[in-house]
Amino acid sequence: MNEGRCVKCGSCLRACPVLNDPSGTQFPGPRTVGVDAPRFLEKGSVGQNALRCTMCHACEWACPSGMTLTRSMLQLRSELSGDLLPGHRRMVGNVASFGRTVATEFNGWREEGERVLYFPGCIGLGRLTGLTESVSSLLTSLGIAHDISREALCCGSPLLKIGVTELAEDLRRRNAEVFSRYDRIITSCPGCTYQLREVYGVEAEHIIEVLRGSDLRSNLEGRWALQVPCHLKRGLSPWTADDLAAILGKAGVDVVRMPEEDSCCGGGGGMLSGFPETSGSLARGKVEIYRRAGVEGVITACPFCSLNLGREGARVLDIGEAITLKH
Amino acid sequence: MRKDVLIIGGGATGAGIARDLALRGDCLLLEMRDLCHGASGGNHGLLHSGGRYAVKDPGSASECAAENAVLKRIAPFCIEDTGGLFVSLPEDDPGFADVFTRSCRSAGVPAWELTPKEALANEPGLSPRVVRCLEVPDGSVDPFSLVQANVDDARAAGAAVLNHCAVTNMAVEDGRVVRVDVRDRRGGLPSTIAPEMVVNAAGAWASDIAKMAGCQVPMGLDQGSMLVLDGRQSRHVINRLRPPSNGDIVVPNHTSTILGTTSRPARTADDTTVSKEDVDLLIRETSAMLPSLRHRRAVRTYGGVRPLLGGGGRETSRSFAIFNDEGAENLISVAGGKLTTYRLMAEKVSDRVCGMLGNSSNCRTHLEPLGPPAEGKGESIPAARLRRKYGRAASSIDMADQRVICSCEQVMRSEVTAVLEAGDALTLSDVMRRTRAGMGYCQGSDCSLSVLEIMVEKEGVDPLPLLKEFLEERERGLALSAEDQLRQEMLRRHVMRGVYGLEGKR
Amino acid sequence: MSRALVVGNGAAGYFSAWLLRKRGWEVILVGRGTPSTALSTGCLRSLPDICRAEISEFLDSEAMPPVTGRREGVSKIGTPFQCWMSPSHSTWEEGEGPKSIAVAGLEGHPSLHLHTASAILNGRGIKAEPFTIPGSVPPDAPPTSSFRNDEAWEVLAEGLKGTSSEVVLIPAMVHLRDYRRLDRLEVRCGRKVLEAISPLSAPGQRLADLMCSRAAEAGVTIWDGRKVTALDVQVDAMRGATVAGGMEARDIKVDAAIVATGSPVVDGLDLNERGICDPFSRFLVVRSNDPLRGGYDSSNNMLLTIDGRVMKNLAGAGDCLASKKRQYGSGLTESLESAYLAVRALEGL
Repeated sequence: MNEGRCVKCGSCLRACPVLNDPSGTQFPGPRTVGVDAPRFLEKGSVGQNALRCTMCHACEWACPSGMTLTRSMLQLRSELSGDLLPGHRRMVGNVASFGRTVATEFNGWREEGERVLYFPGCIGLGRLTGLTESVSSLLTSLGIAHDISREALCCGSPLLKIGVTELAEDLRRRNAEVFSRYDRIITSCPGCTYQLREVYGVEAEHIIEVLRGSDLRSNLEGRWALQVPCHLKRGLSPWTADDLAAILGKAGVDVVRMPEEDSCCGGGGGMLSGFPETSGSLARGKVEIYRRAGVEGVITACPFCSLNLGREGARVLDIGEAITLKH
Repeated sequence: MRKDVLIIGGGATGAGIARDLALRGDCLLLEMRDLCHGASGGNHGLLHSGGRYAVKDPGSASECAAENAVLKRIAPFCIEDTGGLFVSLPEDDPGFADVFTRSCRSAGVPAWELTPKEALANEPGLSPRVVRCLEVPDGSVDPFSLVQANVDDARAAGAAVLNHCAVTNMAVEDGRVVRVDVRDRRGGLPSTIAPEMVVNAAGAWASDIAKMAGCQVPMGLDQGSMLVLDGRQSRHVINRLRPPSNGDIVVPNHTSTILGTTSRPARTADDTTVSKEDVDLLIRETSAMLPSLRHRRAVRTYGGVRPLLGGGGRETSRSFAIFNDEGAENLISVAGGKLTTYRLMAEKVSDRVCGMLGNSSNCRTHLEPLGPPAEGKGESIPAARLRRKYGRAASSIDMADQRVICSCEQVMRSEVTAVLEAGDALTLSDVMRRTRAGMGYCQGSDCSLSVLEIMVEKEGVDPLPLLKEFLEERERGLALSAEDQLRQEMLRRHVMRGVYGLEGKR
Repeated sequence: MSRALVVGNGAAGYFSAWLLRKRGWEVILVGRGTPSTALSTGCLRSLPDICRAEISEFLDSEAMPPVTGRREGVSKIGTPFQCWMSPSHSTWEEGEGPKSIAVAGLEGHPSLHLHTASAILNGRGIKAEPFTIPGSVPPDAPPTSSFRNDEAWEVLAEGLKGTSSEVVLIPAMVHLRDYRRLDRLEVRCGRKVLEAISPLSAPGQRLADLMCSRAAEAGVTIWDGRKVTALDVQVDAMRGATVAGGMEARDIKVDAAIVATGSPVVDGLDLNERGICDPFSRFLVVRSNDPLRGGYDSSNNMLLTIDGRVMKNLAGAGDCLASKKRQYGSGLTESLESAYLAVRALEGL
């Protein structure tokens, strides 16, 4: 990491959604966690509060010196000593038992030996099976025949966020074998997509990238805000934010663009399970913005955004649901 | 005011003498600026194993070896026991390593050989070109913390220690110093003292002080340059295994790495200036041993003036000597020495002083601990950091409020308030020396105003002169800034000059 | 329609993009990170005569109406600050300054050093009354975090009513969208509200946000979080660029471009062991002992290639251009003027 570049401008602190939220006061901040604490002999001095970060990359985007803050924070997180937080311990326990972070509810498995694998990720197979079903239908209607394989397990990203590297590597090995049977891998979770590309070296595509240029329809009425997922815009590609708006616009949805649409919902980085009160507070901030704007709801392309915003009372649709929803 | 012994000079030597004498009697120490103003605040922070002197200056080497062990026993809290490696490269004299080993053995310096493979395993950043490697018990010491601990101990035993108090003149009658004039930056101290004995431990200013009493101290002034790199770039102290030369040593210290050193004659005690050639040399020579050093951010330069016996220069012995001139029979001057052997110097001086005063008590400074042990049981990391910086004084710092005021060094606000309460810190730099706020890579850009704010709130000081003094002090080490440090400096100037209208040095 | 590429998301970039758009160009602005503009005080030290009207139009906004003239404000440490254009709550008209100010800071927060400011104001003959705003904000959190809802502002207003001065100096605590809260605060607490002049905080960010939204309103396509990694230059004309962001890169064709990438502080120019360098490794750079003054060499704002050719359709603007007279604290004005000249130079095509 190019850590010698810091000039203490504080831009990362001003960009951090956690520090900007009244509930985030215990987070030491991206500068302490990513730049300053790593310079000490004992890295772990910041303690578990270093995990109060949603890994949204806003700090990295804001840094005028181009520092790879997220990578540095992840490194420090992996060096923390001490016990896992209760929520994280549960998550790791689940993965160790059955290969996913949450209990699997989905039962529409398809193992037909197709060339394309749809990889919904743990939340899509657990808490938001409707999201998975809509994306699957959407793919089918686009003529993309696909498997949804029971053997494809957690991508490992949540484990890497809390330094549980060996188990994550174990998952990677097992998934790599499954992936090798397919020509194309499509995901509906930007976190999974980023993990597959960055860590697995697999050319996974997020559904937004698949839908680029497609001719779709929507029956949605009223005005809709966008929640541009962090790992989509700041992880995969900044062009995806406009892609999301463009796809919906072309499909006839009245999209309301807002400056805060790409700020973190609070659901990433292990926050949902580790510090749910902070996740919730961040999401409530966004829900308040939607209320003030008077929109019908918000459309996103990430199961964590869907889950977190939904829990705080927003009407959330995933892209798959927005496009296929019948009036 | 009458005090038995007046000690002039608040560096390691003076503070060591104050502690020694305080444990045996009574004394007053006066330092004209802040503690460690001279060489004690401008050195490499190296706790010598003695290896560096084993071949050319075995007397010094033995002293260092012995005192190294003593200090690790009495003051482990301010010492990073990193160990040291002496490494040679293909271009170095191949015979030197064996001469070195033999010399270490006869001087009593522990040294054992590692194979290049072992060396690289122990110190992954070493150049793969390393030919021979010897491990020695070098360490890294925080001189500010060490000197403060001596002062704190001296006070606890009844001594008085005052910084920002300058001796301006001495009057001699019948071969004795009868009066010493003092100017106190604070006010409160009478302007003259009539001590029984005067101990001149003024380091590079020893000659100037002695002259006030019409005496001579034969010494040379020698300047050495250091370069501070951001981050700890090695696990051990790294030394070059060759006859002592420039750019031989790399010392990890707190969150930095200090490269050193050089040697040139100094015109005056304040001639600490570092040149661009020095910086280039330091990077070139040290990166031969640790190649990655070349790519690290260079934060700051600083220089120290070494008070050496005789003519000065690299060949001069690092030993010390005590002078007592019949022109002023109650004035003792000490010159020479090293940070590592400060306690021994102080012991010898104190023995002499006690002898002259008819005090037959023995030195205890090698027996009494200077602070808490090396590690606390079940201690949190922030508490451990405080112990390393403040020794016993760490217990006076409020751990309930952990708000950080200096992000580079993770200094808490409560450290600043504790230091202010102790009463020695008059300036921002004084606070910095004690807390390390402002010593990190941003050199106080971020924290100086916040520290100043606490000083204004607690002490009612006049902010602008303090801020200007601090900025000037920091800028002295930033004149040669380049690359990322220069970017930092541009931002600082944008804020301090462009917005607040404060001019620094051009 | 001709397409122009503007590289850089600071004052020079946004202003030149806005001007180009007004003159009928299709404009794509590519930028990343935080520009110096966002680190500035958000005030203009002076207004260049040559484009005074254009700047006024560019920065005119209901959200944050500017005031112009001989203005004076107080910095967050109490030192005086003179400028020619500022947001309405940052300054007073020279000569109309207060005789006494309540200095209202957040406890232990660097957004306004209330004791330092009080001491310095008193030293300048302005009676200062220190006041601690109720509520605690951690020193690393932006104060804007605690002042987002009506309740927090109500508490603040009530507290300020307890001060005896007619003027209160508060830290910079509002984003662009909330700027009018300061008007409401004045009404609620019955005092004139002055926002401390603070670099590296909300006012600079607000100005950058304002410029961005003005450019977007005018129809500039803004590609944030992206970086121009290569320029397609044929002899002395540029034809296109490669823009990268995240894991994607795209090539675009352009008819002209303005490079407004900023100083070495914001990664606009490289500052390495060879001194100031062009990150594209294509253009001549003027080196200077003072890095503030170094930057791209230019002829009438048009950049020069390494082999000395004057670029036909590539201009430079702002901090990335070499300047003999740039001073710390006056960069914004010079950047805006430079952007205007760059557009004029391009239009002279």
